[in-house]
Amino acid sequence: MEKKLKEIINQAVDDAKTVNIKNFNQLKAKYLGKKGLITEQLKKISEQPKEKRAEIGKLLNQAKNSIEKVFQETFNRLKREEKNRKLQAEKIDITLPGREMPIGNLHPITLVLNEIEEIFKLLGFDIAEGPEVETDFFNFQALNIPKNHPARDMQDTFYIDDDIVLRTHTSPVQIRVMKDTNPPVKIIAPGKVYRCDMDMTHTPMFHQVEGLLVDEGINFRHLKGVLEYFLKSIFYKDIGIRFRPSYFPFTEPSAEVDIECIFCKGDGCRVCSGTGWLEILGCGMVHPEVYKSVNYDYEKYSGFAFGMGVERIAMLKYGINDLRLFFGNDLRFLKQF
Amino acid sequence: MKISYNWLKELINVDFTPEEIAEKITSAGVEVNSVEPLNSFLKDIVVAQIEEILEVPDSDKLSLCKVNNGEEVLDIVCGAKNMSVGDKVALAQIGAVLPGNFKIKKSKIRGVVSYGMLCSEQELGFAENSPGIMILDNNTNIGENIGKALNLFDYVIDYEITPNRGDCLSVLGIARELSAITGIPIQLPKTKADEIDEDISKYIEVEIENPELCPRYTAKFIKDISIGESPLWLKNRLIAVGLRPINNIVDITNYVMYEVGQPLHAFDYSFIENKKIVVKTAEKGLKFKTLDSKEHELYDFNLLICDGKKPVALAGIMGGENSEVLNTTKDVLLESAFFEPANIRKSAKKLGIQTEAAYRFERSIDIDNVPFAANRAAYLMSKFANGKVIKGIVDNYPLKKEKAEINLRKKRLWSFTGEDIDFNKAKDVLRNLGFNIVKDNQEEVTVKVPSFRNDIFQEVDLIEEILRIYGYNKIQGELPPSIVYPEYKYDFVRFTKELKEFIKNAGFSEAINYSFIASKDNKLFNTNNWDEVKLINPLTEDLEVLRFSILPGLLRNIRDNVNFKNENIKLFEYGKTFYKDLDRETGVGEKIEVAGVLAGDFYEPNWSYEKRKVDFFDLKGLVNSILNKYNISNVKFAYPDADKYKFLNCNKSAVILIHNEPVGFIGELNPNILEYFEIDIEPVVCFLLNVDKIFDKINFNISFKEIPKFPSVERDLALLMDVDIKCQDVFDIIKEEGRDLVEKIFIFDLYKGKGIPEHKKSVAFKIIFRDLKSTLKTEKVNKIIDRIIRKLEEKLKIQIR
Repeated sequence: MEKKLKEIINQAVDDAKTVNIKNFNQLKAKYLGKKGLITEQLKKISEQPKEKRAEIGKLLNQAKNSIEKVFQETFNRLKREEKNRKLQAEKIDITLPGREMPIGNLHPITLVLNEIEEIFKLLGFDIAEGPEVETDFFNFQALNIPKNHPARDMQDTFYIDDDIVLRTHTSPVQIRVMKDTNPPVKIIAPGKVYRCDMDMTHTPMFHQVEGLLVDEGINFRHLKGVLEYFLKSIFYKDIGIRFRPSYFPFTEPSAEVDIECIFCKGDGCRVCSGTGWLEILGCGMVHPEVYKSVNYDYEKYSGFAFGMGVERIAMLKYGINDLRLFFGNDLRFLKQF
Repeated sequence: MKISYNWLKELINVDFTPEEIAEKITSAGVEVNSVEPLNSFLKDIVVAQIEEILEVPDSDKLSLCKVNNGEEVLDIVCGAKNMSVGDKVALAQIGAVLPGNFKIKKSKIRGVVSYGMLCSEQELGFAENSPGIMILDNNTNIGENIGKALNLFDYVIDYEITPNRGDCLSVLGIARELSAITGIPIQLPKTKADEIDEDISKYIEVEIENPELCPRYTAKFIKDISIGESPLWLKNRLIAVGLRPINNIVDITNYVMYEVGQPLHAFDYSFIENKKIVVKTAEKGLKFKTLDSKEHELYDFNLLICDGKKPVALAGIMGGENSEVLNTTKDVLLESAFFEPANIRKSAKKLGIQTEAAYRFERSIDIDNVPFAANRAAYLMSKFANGKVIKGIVDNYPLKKEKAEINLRKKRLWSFTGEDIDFNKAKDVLRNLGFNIVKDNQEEVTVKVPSFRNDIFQEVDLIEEILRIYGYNKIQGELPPSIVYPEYKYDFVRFTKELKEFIKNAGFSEAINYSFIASKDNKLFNTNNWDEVKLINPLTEDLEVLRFSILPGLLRNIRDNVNFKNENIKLFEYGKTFYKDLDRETGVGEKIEVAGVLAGDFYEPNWSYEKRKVDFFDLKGLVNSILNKYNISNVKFAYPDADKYKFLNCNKSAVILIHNEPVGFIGELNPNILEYFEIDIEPVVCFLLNVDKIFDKINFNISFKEIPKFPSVERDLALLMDVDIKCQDVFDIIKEEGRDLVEKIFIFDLYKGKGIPEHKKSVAFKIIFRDLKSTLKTEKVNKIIDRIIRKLEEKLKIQIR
């Protein structure tokens, strides 16, 4: 009996060596199934003499266990082999394009506006807004531009009627904010502005950012400090900056600010018409007449205002060479930002 | 304003290069746009002498001139007849390029080789037409360059004069600036003519009826002039500033205007009746013909210069045709006056006349300088038109302008600039600029403003004057102390920024369109019976009204992009839209909207996704995501009113309601609209949200809900229902019966067609139930499901599959 069992076990070990995952269950049944070789022996146990039954039963159980163990190991091996085969076989082409989650694009003007806002927020400026359709008072008179004044020539105005205009600059927001709040005032006002002009270098609508800081003790050095900080932040740290005297009816003294040409670094090129400088913004100390129109005490408070064209900054930052691209909304343009 | 470099140097003796002048003037506040060499083409044209004049065979018009250029004798064929042997002439040598890009080459004319050209004034651009070639002064040196010989080489400097600096609109004005910067004094031009000792009042009398509009009027009288061409140097200077030479009298008035900034007018005295000038406003409706032969109907505020009987000029703007200087003019009445700036501007604007004179009067001129300019012009007329200047000047000056006195405090100068500027130096700057110091102590000065500065009214104006000459760039920048901190808040600005980011992240590219569009486009999007906001002065018909909606711009963008072969389009725009609202201060209401459009395929071509067109649900999903993100509840969708939303296909569109208030819409564009906008892809779907309305509905309080401790129970319901039944109705019944135990409902299958009866659809719902306080029992869920099924059958006749 013992011998017989040993033979069965050896046979099972041999069988296990050649089995594959498909006929594994069949093999298992051959030994351990209802009519399996071990099961058959178990059935025959009653044929044995009573006193030997216990011993044979023990031998049979041992044989069954060792066969089960062999089969379990075999099964694990086969599974492992199968998994490896699968891993080997299932290879993807990683150069196939992925399923993109196409993120769109913000308009370059929005991108630049966001950046300008971030910079001024660091300096503690708040953001203010105002209507795009304005009264003559807010757009001109309160800013020291009376009717029949040649300064009105500086801006070609769209009229809704004699007294209502599309704002020609974001400066009326200054007036609205000062009318509503007492000093100190520290705001920027981004937005659309309109001028009756359309050619290669002008669009009838464009974007500006206005800035205003009024408090006690604000002077011309602070104006320079803030604008230098801004220009170095939005362009680059060691950019050349110069202030030129100029004229705006609502500031005195007034200045225009040039940056060194970012394309030729001041050597002179086509973009800067050989001057090495690019005009970038206008600014000045708030004019006493403006304080009068908002009932601020001119002797007590002083401050500065500035305004810049957003398209101009975007063109310089991104190297865009045609203003009209901003409003053509060609996806081949928009998708670059 | 363009003026010549040499001209400037006549008034101020500086040895700076044109570029150095540009730099100095710019840094003090008058921006120089450009510096251009003048007449540089003259470099290949030399003084030559005619040694022999021969005939050209077979031609009676042409002659062959043997011309000596100092180095050799050249054969030149010439068509003119006005030269003779020994004359000095202007020879354009081979290689020279004349105005109009006319290149001089060796050429063969009637078998004779010509090695250059003898030039006329016309060919050199100094005259409109010339009878013959230029015969030069005998003092010129043979072989010398003609630009040098005739002093025609120069530079033109183009200054940008801001509207406050009318005093800089002349050579004298720029010279004054340069003098203030450098401290070098200016030299005034000559005015002293040999005058004839007659009484000018015998010839003319001036009467001013409106002194507030004409505070000063002067007149000079010059007789026996000979009209003719101006000398070459004078014409050259006028051409350099951009003026066309006409005749010596007119040219001189223009020359003096550019030289000293005072516009002048010369009348032909023979047309002045009753020896009288009367300055007065016009009668409304009066017709008057200016010297450009245009007739104007006048307003009652227009100021006229009249003689004893009739108007002869529109004061400060343009002379009349009835009294202009002609080739027959013998005696000239010269006007030099001051007219009130605002009235000149108003008149010129209303009449639509733009002249150099009006431009200067609008910006105000130097009232003290009025007689000086008249004398200067009279002097030039005596010199270059052989005029006899009658002694004296009529000077009617009824309204004397007092010179303003302004105080300047040292303390204020220092605190305003942030710089301890030396007060004595500051006073020097003011003196150099022409200010008169009338009171002076250590802390404060009082100055009188020079008559030519009409832009200085108060202390801060003096501070600017000092600072601009001192140099803006000498002042050290400094960040202000951070005394003001904005309040931290979640506000509209931040919301709109997030909103744009969100839509961008959903795959849309941001567009920006003009706020004005064509009225015919605009009217198609009038969903609220708005009145249009029209521009009085639109640039074009396509840009005539302020838009009601952002959509028309985006639809134009679709058309353009399809033309550019960008066919899968996802665009959005954020901005204002406008309508009439008389309750507002401006009469215009402004809404803030965000809108988007989708066209073409939803996915770019891809190996993995199933290709499909965009549809309504792409945008409904986007809108729902946005509203969910901001915790906006009570959102409903309703079919739009087809009468209002004509641009939509209303069977495939929805108005978005929050608490029953419309806040926007989603929809497929009506094919008629697509045709109108010339868009040939279908479908195009769009959404539009009223940003300010949505902002009002946002619930900013995010409150954390505990993660559920008890398990959920899922049930699927496959329903067979009439095609017309809306899913919302099923949702409503499920929620009503399930109450707060219903956590979520999904629709995971929707089927019509084969195997389903006609007019029916099969819809599969997945319902997730959860009790937040205990484990939900199966029996309880079963009961709810039974109730739901019963209600669905009762109310909607829906069957379970």
